[in-house]
Amino acid sequence: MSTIKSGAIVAATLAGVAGVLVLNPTTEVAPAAATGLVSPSDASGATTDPTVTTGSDDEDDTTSDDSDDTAASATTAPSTAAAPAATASTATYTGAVYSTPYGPMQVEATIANGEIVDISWISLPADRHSQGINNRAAPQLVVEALAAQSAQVNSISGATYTSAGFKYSLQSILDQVGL
Amino acid sequence: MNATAGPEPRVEMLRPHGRSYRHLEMIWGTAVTIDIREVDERLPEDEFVRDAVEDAVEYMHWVDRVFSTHRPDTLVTALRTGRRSEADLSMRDGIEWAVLGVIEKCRAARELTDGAFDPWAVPGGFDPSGYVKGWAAEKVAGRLGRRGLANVCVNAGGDVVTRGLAGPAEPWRVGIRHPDDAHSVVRTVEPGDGAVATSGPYERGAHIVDPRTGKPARGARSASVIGPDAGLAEVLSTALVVAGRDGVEWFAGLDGWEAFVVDPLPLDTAWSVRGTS
Repeated sequence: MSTIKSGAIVAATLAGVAGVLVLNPTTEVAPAAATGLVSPSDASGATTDPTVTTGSDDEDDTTSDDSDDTAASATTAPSTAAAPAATASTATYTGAVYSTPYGPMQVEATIANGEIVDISWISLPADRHSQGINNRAAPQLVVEALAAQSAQVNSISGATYTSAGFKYSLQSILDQVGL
Repeated sequence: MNATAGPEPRVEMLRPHGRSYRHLEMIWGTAVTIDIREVDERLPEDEFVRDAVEDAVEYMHWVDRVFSTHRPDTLVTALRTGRRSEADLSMRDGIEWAVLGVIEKCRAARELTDGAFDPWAVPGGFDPSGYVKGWAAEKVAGRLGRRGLANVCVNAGGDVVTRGLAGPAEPWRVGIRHPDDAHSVVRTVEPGDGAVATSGPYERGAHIVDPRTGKPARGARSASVIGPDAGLAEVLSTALVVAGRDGVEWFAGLDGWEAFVVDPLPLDTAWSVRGTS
């Protein structure tokens, strides 16, 4: 079952990255050294109980009855990534660097039992072009020093950078892992 | 990169305590993850959860088939190329109705942001992508919620929608990525039943263009917006990258919304504002 699932997910992913394969004949990937990522590998104690109360507080989406959703396409990944077993082999890999006019871009992927369970950027271009800005500050505005912080989080919000760079770097990981 | 020296900050992804499901879908030119948690109430059986996720994924593909600007066959592409016009869209057609709804929201956002967000004033013609990703992530969370999955986090390429909790008495915690250092965050927020979206000048492979000058936006090097709706959060964050601190003028009137913005280089500062009515 795990094989089927990972196959489907990889197929979907490869479909997404097929466009960059041509650009990326040889890449070098090494398992990441200590990164902040912890893979969700111990969702244990998973008992199934079919008697569940449904229809809770999520009624905010009143306009979303887009009933004309047409049938699933063949590229739809058919299953969820269920919580990996406690024995999952989990590793984090670093993708090849993709150069952009603004700086290097690189992704990192955590793979458990042949499934990608997490992807994140580890290198992003920074804007090096300085320019004066309007410092007129409205009264409500609170200014602070920019500080890099450590944190424990469930998810990350960041700007979406070019999907070409994302796919390039991710594909290099898939090549390396043999998915 | 003016990253500070000293010990390297680290971002640790919290792991789920109990049963959970994760799904990753490469779509909309980015990666979308769905994270479903069992918290106080039991999750339905696996097959039910899988069905719900499958439905959500089908919906994501439907959105792509209607709104993608990278496919030749979408209605939005037809509008961009002039093969169709807004005037001949009908509310009676489901797809056209959805597109009209998005157009209306985009128009409202243009007004709200004093023109800092203007999907009509971009190269290549009308491009609602800056709204659609967050809007659709919101819909995905809503669809899962109507299936009884109350504790959900949908992350559409950095636009994050949260519902319920991440664990018992544990709110969803979302890190706002440091614009120059992907290993650290600049702040952690708890959107509750809400959303957080972040934009940067080089988002999605293209400059965010300042609609008023046609030049790349330089108001901020990263702008995050926290509030009750992911579509509007995405639009507002994009608009703050354009407007920079000037955006406070219109943002301050948005009750229930909060912004956290990193100033452009060489400034080493960030600013925040909380909207009030």
